[in-house]
Amino acid sequence: MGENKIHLDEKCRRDLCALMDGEASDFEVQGILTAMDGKSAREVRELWRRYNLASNSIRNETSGIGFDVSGDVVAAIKNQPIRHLTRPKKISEAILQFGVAASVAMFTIFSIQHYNNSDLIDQTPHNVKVESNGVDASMGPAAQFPTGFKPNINVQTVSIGSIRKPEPKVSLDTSLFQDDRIRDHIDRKVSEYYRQSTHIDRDRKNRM
Amino acid sequence: MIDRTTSNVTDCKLLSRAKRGDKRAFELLVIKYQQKVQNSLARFVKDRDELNDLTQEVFIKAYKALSAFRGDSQFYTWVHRIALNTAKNHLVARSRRPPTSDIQVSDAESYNSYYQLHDIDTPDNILLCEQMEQILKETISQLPEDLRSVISLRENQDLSYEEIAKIMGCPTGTVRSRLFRAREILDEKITAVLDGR
Repeated sequence: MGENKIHLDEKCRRDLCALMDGEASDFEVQGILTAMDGKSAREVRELWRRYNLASNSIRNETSGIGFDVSGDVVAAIKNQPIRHLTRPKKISEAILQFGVAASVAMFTIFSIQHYNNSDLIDQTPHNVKVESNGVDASMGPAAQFPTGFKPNINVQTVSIGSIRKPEPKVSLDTSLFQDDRIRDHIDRKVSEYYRQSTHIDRDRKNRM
Repeated sequence: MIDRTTSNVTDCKLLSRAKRGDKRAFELLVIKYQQKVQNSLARFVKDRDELNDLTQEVFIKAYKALSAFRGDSQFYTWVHRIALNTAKNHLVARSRRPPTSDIQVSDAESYNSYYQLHDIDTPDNILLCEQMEQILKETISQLPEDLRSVISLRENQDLSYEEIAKIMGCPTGTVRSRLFRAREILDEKITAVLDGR
């Protein structure tokens, strides 16, 4: 045993000492566990055991030096998984869970419907004048809700047609036509056009 | 009894790793508590082989049920409960066979066999324990003042490094270093005792 101490490096012994006192960091714990797989595996276990023997003895917590069963225990649990104990659900719990899930689903559906309606209302541009074009409210989308469901909508139903941008007003400057030269030019061009079109029609008829 | 809170910190660290399937971490817990479990079980069984088997059974059961341990109590308290149930079940099972002992199941928990000799309580073993306790006391009393204070505050008062550092007016690193030096000296003596048996 005395020779074993020589093989175990001081870092590992210091870390084991700190682990005894609950002061070893996660990194140090990992180092100890790694050493348990290395060439000084036996020394790590023996030093840990001696440290605990000494501690128990100083604290008068245990009497006697028993036998080491750790090797046998580890061999026995080598292929043993840890059981994850899950309590079987009661029927009442299952029903309760289903009820909660259904309530959440219903709430979500109605919230989305309500939100969508709100969106339609909000999308109406404020500068667009909504025309009341004599649409019967009872025939619109509001009438498509299930029986007994009366959404609280305080605005008038609008359709895409009513959200129409005002047409740009084009006003011709007629003063241009008051110029005689321009008016003569236009008249001349129009006459030429009619003349040419008359010739084309005549040629087409002759060919036929 | 001293509340070993810092010991609980170590247990928690090792347990969290053991729960994730690290068997080496669980092995360190077995090494740490096997002596206590044996002492508890020795109240119920005398035979060395039986005691050995039961001790193993307790820790194997504990490992399999690790996920059920939520940390509400200390790890050893939980293991001790498993040990009591295992011992009782063992006695019940034995009662179906020709009895070799006069211990009744109903008396098992309150049965105090502390003053009875067990197979592990051989004269050699008793002598060894007495020797070790004596040597540890002597060694601690001969330690330099700074090392003696630090090991006493740690082991007898169960103070953390920070608390010891405040009392002694030194950095926690110094406390850590002194504790290591003190344990090295004690370990040297214990190794000599164990090698001599």
